[in-house]
Amino acid sequence: MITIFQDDDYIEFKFSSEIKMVNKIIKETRNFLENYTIEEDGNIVLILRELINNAIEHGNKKSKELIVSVSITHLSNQRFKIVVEDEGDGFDYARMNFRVSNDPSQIRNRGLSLINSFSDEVVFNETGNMITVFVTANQKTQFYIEENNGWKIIKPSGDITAEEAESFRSMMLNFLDQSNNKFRFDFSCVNDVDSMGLSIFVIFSNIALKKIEDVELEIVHATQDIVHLFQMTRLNRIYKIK
Amino acid sequence: MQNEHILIAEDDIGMKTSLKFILEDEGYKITDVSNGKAAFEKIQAVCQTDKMFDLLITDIQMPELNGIQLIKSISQAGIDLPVIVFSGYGDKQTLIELIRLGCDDFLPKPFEPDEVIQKVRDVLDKVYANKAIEEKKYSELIKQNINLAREIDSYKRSFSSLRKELDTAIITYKDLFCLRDEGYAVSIAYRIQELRDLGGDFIDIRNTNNGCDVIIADVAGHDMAASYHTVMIKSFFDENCRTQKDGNTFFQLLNHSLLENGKNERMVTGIFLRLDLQRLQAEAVSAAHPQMLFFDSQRHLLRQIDISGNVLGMFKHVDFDTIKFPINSGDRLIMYSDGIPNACYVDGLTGKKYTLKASGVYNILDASMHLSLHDMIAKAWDEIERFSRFKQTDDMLLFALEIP
Repeated sequence: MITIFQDDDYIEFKFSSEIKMVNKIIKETRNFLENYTIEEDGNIVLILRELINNAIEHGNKKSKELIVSVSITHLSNQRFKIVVEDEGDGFDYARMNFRVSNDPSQIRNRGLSLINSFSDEVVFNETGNMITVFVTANQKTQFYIEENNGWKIIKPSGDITAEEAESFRSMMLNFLDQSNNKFRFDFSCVNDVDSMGLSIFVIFSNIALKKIEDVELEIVHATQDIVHLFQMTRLNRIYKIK
Repeated sequence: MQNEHILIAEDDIGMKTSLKFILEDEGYKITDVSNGKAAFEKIQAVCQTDKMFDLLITDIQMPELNGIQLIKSISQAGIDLPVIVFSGYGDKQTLIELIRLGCDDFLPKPFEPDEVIQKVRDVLDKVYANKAIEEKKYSELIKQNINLAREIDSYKRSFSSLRKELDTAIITYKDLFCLRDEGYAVSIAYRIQELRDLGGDFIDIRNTNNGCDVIIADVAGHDMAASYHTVMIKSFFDENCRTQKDGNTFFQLLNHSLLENGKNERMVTGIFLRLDLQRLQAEAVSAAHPQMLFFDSQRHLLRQIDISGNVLGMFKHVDFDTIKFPINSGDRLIMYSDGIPNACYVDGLTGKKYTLKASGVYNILDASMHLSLHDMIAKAWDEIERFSRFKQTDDMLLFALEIP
């Protein structure tokens, strides 16, 4: 059996512990997710599948008469909350850790480690038969670009780290083929710049200084930590920090 | 070459004979028939033999199969044969249809011998020219294909050699970490976790006459270029341990070499630390690396050692400050790569991101300073992993040493 309840930004399933139910739930979830602009399904389907499998197999031990409850709540933009509850005895979640094993043959806990690594936070209820997972579907930083008074203004939507490095790098190198000579980086939404991200600023300024006359580089709205980072690497001599 | 074979289809015997006479005189081989049907049969017959006629000269008005029907039949049979048509009368509609059918030229009736010879020559030359172009195109296509195949081959080869290189790099990278647990002039403890197989974090230590030299370095990236830089840092460090140049000179040389020989621009940060255990003095140079922590065992105080300097591998002109400070038995020095302060987690409910930062690393270490060096590192590492909820975003390296 399966019942589905749907409301604004919310969907709920209750179903008997049968493996054949999994694909039905996934299909309905995909439909639900189509209401939101998220890339692919933002790992939500992957996480949900693991959670439901766990609930049926380990929680309810495949007893058809036991019910699995699943709910998905859209929190904001790219963020979702998934709750999965089974009628089993729960498990000792306090004793497990989410460390992903380096040993590829190790399969114990793999499912939960996987869920952990694709989500923001995993929370259990006391009994350990209900798991809440918070997911950010798209964590990639976007770069918003605008022109103002001869300045090219680049505003990243989030952190500049190794993950974004390649797209950031190619975007920056493209700028060098255009006619701008003034670049302002708006760090209002940036909390972190790692060494990979920082190296792109270095590479960019190195080429820009050689290639473009009267080049002006500016960083605005940077946090104290980032200002410090730029000072420490002496990049503040090249990028004026305002 | 005047051995081209021409087929003449013409029901008017006088006309056919004079045409045959003129063209045979020019050296052409002539076959003649008196209607379209016979012409098509001849064509089909030679089609089997691979010795197709070089040209067809045909009348329009003929019994059995007329000229137009003949040309249609030929093209329907997929046979490629140039055609010259006698057009006894200037029927515009017929001409248009003939052109549409692909007729190559026209002969007026009656014709002048010179005109016939010229037209036949022109059409044949045109055909040869076209053929030559086709053949050239074809051979170029073949050539391109060969080039393409060659290119694919070379890609395949370089891909497989790249794979091998990568595999070697992974092994080399792993080999770079040949830190023993003991045997150094100071006791050490460390944890390292690469994000991928290839990492850019590097730590090494070597005993010297008076103590030891230590290097920690972080090459941006997790690929072969990063690994390549790491190998270079390692060999420069080895060499420097032999020559015993000071930290500033070492970093200047290393910077120069990274710029000259680096396969790709990669930013490198690092700290070079020299411990003189006889004079109980430490000397450190930093290339914009996350700051080192110093635990003063007498005052039970953990403090950050601020050293300023440029990054390596990016700028031609770099300068590094050198910091000197006294050390005593029981003091500890802790160094780490930026993956440690950058450890972070996202709060589930709010989506807010929390980063450990240098202050967080300090607090974790400060709280574990009472433990033995090994336990301190073990506990700190565990807490850092828990802080980031076991989600790693960068290479992580945590290293500590204690003055004996």
